Amino acid sequence: MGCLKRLGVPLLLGALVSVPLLGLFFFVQAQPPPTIPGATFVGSEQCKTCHSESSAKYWKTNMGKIFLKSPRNELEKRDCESCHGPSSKHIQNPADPKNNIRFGKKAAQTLAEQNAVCQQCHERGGRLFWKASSHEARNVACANCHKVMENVSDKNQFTKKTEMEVCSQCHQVRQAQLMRSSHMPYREGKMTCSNCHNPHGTPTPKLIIENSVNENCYKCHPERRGPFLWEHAAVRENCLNCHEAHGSNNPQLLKVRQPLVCRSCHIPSRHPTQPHLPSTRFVFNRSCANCHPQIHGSNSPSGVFFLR
Amino acid sequence: MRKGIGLVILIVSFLLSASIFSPTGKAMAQTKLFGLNANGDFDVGVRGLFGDRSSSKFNEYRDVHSGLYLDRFFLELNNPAETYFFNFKGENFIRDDQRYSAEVGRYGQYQLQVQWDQIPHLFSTTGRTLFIKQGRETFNLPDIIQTTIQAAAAADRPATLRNFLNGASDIDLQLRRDKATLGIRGTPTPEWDLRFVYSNEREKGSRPIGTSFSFGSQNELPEPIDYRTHTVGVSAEYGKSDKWVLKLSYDASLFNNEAETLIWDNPLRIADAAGSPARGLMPLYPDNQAHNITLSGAINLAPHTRFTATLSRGWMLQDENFLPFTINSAVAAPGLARNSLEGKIQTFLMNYLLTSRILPRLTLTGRYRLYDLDNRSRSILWPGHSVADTNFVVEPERNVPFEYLKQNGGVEASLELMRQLFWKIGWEWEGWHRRFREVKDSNEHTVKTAFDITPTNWLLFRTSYGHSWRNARKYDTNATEEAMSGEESLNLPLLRKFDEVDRGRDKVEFLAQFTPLSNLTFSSTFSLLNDDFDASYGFKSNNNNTVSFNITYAPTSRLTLFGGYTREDYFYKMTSRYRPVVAGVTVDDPANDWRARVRDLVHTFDVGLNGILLQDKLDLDVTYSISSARTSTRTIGTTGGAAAGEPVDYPSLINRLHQLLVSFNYHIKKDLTTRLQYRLEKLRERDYATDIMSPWMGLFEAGSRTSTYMGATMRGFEGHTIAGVLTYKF
Repeated sequence: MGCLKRLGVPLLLGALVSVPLLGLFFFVQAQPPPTIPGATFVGSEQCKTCHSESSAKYWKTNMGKIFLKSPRNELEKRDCESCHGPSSKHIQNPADPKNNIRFGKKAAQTLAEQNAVCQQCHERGGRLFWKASSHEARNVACANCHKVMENVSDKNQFTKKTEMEVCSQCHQVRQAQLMRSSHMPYREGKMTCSNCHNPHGTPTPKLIIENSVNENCYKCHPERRGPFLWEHAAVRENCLNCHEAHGSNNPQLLKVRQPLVCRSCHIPSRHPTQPHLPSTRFVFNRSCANCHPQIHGSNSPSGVFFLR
Repeated sequence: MRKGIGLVILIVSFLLSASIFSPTGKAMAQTKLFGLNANGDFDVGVRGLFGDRSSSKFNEYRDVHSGLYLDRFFLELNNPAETYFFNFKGENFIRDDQRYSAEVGRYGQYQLQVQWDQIPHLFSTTGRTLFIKQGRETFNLPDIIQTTIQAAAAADRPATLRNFLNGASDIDLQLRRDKATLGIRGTPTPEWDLRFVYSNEREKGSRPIGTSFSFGSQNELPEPIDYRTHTVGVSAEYGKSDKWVLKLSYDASLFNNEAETLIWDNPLRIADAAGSPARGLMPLYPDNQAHNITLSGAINLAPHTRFTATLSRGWMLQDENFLPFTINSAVAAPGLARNSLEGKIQTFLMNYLLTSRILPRLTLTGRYRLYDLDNRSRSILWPGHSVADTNFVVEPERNVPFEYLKQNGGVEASLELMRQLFWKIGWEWEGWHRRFREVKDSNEHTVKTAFDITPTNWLLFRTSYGHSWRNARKYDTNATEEAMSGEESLNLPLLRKFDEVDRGRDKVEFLAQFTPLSNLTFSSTFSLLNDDFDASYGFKSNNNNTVSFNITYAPTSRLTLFGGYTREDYFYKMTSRYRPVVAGVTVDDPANDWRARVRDLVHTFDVGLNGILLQDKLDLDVTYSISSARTSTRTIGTTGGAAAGEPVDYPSLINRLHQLLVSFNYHIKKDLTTRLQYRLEKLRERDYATDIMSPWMGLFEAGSRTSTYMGATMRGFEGHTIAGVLTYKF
């Protein structure tokens, strides 16, 4: 798209913003985790005195094993107190939620403060774009989806057994869509939400992992990537112009059944558009695709109408 | 049989090994294996399946059969100091949907993972065809069929073809993805995170594809699928969590299609003739590659400010040799202008985000994103094209490399009005710049507001509203055709394509979570989306609303009840026109307008319980769900008979899936459980477009009498499964 010419202004803007920010590099400071004024560290052995059962479960988790047996820094060496803060005041008065850092609804700390505790270690990798992401912006807490204190799920320390159960706590309609006749293999356990979405934020809208919706789809459907000799413009721009990825009542995850999905953009005269009877070749089986199979793009010199 | 023997050996091995894994001494002692700490579990069982399970839908993406099965085996080993680990997980052993993964490494330092995953996809179990596959990509017919039909009088051909089709053979319409993945991750110091991933996926099988020689001569075939895709990802990240992070990554995907061409016989002809070829020729998906280099970074700035940026450059490449215009030797087609496309698309992404809590209760966020799809593929002037191998039409036309630039920007303010009451207000912009499409430039603005309220720790509300308006500066109906051939579009000039045209959008979302008692949780969501397209013809509107409820209640410590309901309503409106060509002139008469109303109404309901019948001994789990979807399509408009566009109300499409699971779980010991399970899966599927399919469709339509299909249907099923399962944890 004459890329560099058009990108001049945005690149300049980016540079203008980036340079002064980089200048602040030496003054950087992360959002600090909450503190417990007046409290001191007592060591995790003290915690076991009252929390022996939960400690035993926690030390079976990956995080527990790292903190207990292979700490990589001073923070991790504090084990329980790395997340829950210094516990001396909690020991004196365990009932007061302000005396230590807690996670969940009964915490004295705000959600942002609770999340800041996790972000001491987890602000990189897949969490790079967490700040101001859809979930962070709507005050979703790390603890809404993850349970650090025991292994509930096989991976990722979810609060539920499966990822889909976690996501469907809020995205109930998506869970219902997965029950449609036309669906990807989610409910068979071969796909999960995080195959396409990163719940911790991405540079792409809708938490899509790749740089565009289509690039996301090409991960499993690389044959549709092309580029093709004869491109179908609406297909090149967005697979979701025609498909509903979460499940559909129509074959091939189509939003609307053929031929209507095609007719929404094509009212030609060559084979006149009319509401054909369902028992005609314009409607039955694959409808338009009975003759135009190459609708995702054709590489045939005779493929201008996607017949070949 | 070999699978069965293998499975028996595996299960016996696991059962025998249970005694090895069994902890000695105290009940809670750590299980040891070769001096290593071991834990894990496995599920083995035997099941019987009953009912009508012949539909492809029953095992669409899975492989469930009667007999012995090993659903899961998980083993984790740690050295006594618990600094190193090894784990293995297997699912669906010795079945088409099996998956195995193994990981080894040191906690927090490095790990290596290997995985094998198979995903079957069964399209239909009723497919039949006369075509015989030869080699990878050729479908031949016995000469007698073509000879007989060609020799028959035109009026007799349908009956002759029908007779042959009565002898069509069953055809396998399924494919399977086999994917091997190797992943390595290392964090040699807390600052570094290095990752490498390689995967090799094979997709092999066949799926139905439509081909044609003319309107009246369609041939449905099993498209040969033989794909191989290699993907590689390498990334290096350096930074300090509390300060800044920089990440550089490279990803590549190499797609190779081993069946790149489809050649098939024409049942109606044995010898090539102008207007009626003996064979058809079609390229299947060409080999292609994609590469991407991405640089991402973030810095935390005092106070409570974070800036993230991403720059990403990508390439999509395709340079497969073209096939000739036609395989029909009786058609004089010119040589190719070029041998290949030299297809190249360059993408560029940049994304900047700055968010800052400038006041204790006020957070401001600004963002800008640009995605440029720069299509540098050759634009080739072609002298014409062959229409389905029947002829060569001299009609100079040029392939156009569609491309676009999409930009997004926005600002957002989040204000904590009082503790746990957040108000957000924001503005977003999306700008498109396209080449060769009807709308060159469009801008969409959105104003939005949201409230997140947690008045008490047992109540949460999240609600948002957004209003958008998209303005397309100019709609040029002929933009694409002018670039291709310099001619006018064949489309109705008044048509406006929904993805480009002016649009008004209203979007409402609401979520409530309510936990009034520790044993009662209730949640509900509501959403509404109204799209109103400024179009006289084409898609005119899209109105969706959904509502859902979920409740969990535990009246006693021994009983938990749960249930949920979701109602989805999707309603689309479009307007079209019947435009016949009379004496070479297109008749554009508003009296031939017709409208379509499509409505998807879906109810999903689930209910269940988890109960303890005998403390520490016997549990009961019951879940039942039903998803009932109905699509109704009505057309309203002109009269005068079907040929002139008579309105047709299509029969409703119905999909109704019932699932019931009843499971009695008897705990023999703390680590040993037996389960007796009953599962009902019942799908009722009514689809007017596929239910009637058979290899010969001449019974339904005169125009299909000389076509061949495969009769590939996807009907409903009713499957009953009774299983006995043994779960052992160690």
